[in-house]
Amino acid sequence: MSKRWLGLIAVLAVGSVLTGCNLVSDPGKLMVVQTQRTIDPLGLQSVETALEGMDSIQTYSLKAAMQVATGRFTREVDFYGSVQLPATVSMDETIGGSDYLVYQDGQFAYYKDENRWVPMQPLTNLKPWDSLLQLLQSSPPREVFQLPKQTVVSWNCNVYQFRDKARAGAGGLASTWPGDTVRTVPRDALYTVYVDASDGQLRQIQVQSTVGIPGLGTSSFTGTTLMFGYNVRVKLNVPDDLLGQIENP
Amino acid sequence: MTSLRLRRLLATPMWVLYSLWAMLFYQLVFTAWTLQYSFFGVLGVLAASLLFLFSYGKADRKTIVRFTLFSLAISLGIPSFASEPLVWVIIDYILFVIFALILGVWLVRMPVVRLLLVIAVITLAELWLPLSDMSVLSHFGVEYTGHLGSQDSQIPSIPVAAAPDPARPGLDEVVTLQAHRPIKGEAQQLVDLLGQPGAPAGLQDAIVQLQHSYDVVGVTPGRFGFHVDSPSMSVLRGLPYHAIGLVDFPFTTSHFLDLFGKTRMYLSLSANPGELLQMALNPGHLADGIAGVSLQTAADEKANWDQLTGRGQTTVDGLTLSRGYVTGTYAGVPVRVKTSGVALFGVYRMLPGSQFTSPQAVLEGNNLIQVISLPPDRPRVLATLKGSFSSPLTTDVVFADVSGTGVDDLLVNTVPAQILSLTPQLSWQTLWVSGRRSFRFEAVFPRSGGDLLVANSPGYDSDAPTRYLGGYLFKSGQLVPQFRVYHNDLVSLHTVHVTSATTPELLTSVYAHQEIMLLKPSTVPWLAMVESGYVLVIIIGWFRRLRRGVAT
Repeated sequence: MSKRWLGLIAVLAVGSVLTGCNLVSDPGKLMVVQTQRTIDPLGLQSVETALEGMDSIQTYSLKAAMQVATGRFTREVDFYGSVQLPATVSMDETIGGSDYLVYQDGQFAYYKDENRWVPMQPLTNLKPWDSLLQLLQSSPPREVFQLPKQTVVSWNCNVYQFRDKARAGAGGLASTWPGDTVRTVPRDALYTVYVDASDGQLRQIQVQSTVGIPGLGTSSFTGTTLMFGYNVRVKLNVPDDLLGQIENP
Repeated sequence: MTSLRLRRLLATPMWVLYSLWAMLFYQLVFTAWTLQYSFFGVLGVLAASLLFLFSYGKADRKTIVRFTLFSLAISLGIPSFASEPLVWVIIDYILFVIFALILGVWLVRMPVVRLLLVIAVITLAELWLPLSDMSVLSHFGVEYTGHLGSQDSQIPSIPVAAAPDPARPGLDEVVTLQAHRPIKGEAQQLVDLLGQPGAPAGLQDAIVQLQHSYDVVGVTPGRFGFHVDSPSMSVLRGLPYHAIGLVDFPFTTSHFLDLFGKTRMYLSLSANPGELLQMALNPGHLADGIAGVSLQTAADEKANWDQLTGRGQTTVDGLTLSRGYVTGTYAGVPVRVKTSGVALFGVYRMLPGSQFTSPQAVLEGNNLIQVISLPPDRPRVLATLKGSFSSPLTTDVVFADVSGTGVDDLLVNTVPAQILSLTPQLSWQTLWVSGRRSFRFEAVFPRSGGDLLVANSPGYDSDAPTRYLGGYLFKSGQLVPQFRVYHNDLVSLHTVHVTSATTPELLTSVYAHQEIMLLKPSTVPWLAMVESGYVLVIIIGWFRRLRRGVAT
């Protein structure tokens, strides 16, 4: 065989290697998405016990994310910081690649946009477990499922999942919408609660739902709130630059 | 001219050519192998490198290996300061060239002029196409690249869209954003405008955001390269509100306004950080809260866009969607069908012509897709596809005739991505399911015998979710690769006709690079050329080795 033919064969071989192999269909992956879950008759009670058990919490730290998928993109807002009940908050926030800070001590509430602190409406309910407990009490889910145990950070957790209303209590932001949008607001959401298997403490809450946006289509979102550092003493002092801005505007 | 003089004369151009080949081979072949086959790819690279090394005798090996490393170092070094401000680029480049020459003279032991030429040619090549984008050459030629030119991080990928160009029937105009550069006295001009009757809404905020605002620009091909200008309102009217809006949706709101005949955009937070934190702290209200922000942001952007462009209700093939009904006239017959849809995808042939005379309207509702028959068939909802909370059906859908039968299937980017077909029995059949969670369909190149599916797909033998562009044909229940481009940041891909009415092109935004690219299937077989180059280099090595004796 001539060198020319050898060369051609080599080129074709390298070409076929570069494009890779065929992608076969894998329907099994669809089944994996539908996670194994079983109805737990005591699930609701377990979740409520975990939520009620949070009454003794005075301080906690929080890592949360709100992820929204619309069209081809998924956008995210991240939170990381600490809360001292009843009304003190210090939180880092990332929105669209930009960093913000939130500081609140009672009615003294500011957020920092770029280099300037801006007054804001004080945050009211700082207990993430309260709104969920209110939801469960006002509208108990028909079924609570138990999912396989999962490790969250380093905690081995029992995982409970239920479908319930998209909002605790009556009314809601979206329900005040006119015309077309009334039909598209989420009625339900999927809630997943992670309870520490060893001490029964609430560790994480996840909320998933969708909304139909007129002219655009479905937007899906996932909110995840992880709580840790319960009753660990933290000093949430007023940031120096905020004090500086107030004293020397 | 003697043979020796000819060889001396040709030596420098040949070494320069070799340096270009080494750069391209590294980018198109070695990088591709490692990204596609992971560990096995690295083994392939080692094997090919060893074959290359031992194709040359000891005397040649030292020179060629050192020169190859020198060429690669130059090609990889230049991009490290390319993104800096121009003054620093010039300073860094001068220093880089000096150090490179010192290194080259000491390491490669070649004439300074030859090394300087190599550096110059590689620099020119990277000016023509940056190294980070060179991987696209394995299948595409780059028709156009554009940059946002902004220091802001608020736009991670530049919105890009194509609208029919009224001046060039059958062809598209690219519509995108560029950072606005305020000129002296502009703020005063805007303040003066603020006091005048008929000043555009949002002007006050636009003045505050002047340093962080963007010009909406249209890109069209001209006789010498591409023209970047302000698109006409009729071009913008052809685009829906979400085509170049929805930057970081729903957390920021895009505002558009017409200033002195040019369209300006700026962004604002849809909800302040405190309001978003309040939502995160109340999971029991979160779904409702985010839905509210999403609906409000979309409504604001739509109202703003409609006011700017004069675009009214979106009409597709004579059909509109309003208050839960698809209405309009199709084939001269009035249509009014109740639907759960909130957005009209368009009219597609989802069922064979033997069963339904007309194609069907496809709509999306809240986590569902509906197919509606059109006249002369009786208008009604034929089928509904529902998503779940864990695997929602967003608008991330591509339509393609995968089998070449003239009937479209749904390429749905759920996790995992699927190809779904509507059967004549009006039920949904899954034709293909991705084995990888990060696989996603992006665009379609129409083709007789089955459309070419353009997708972002992870490496074959790697668990990493990183995706690279690929073209696939659906055959015998499998996706058969036709090309791979190992560029992992190509997002927002559209099939367009900007320079050619017949050859489809790919318009894309490069994530985190503030860049857009217009790619056209290449007429230059770069990949085959560099692969042939490897074979040639090996043959030359063995030829020289055999001529001098194998041991030398």
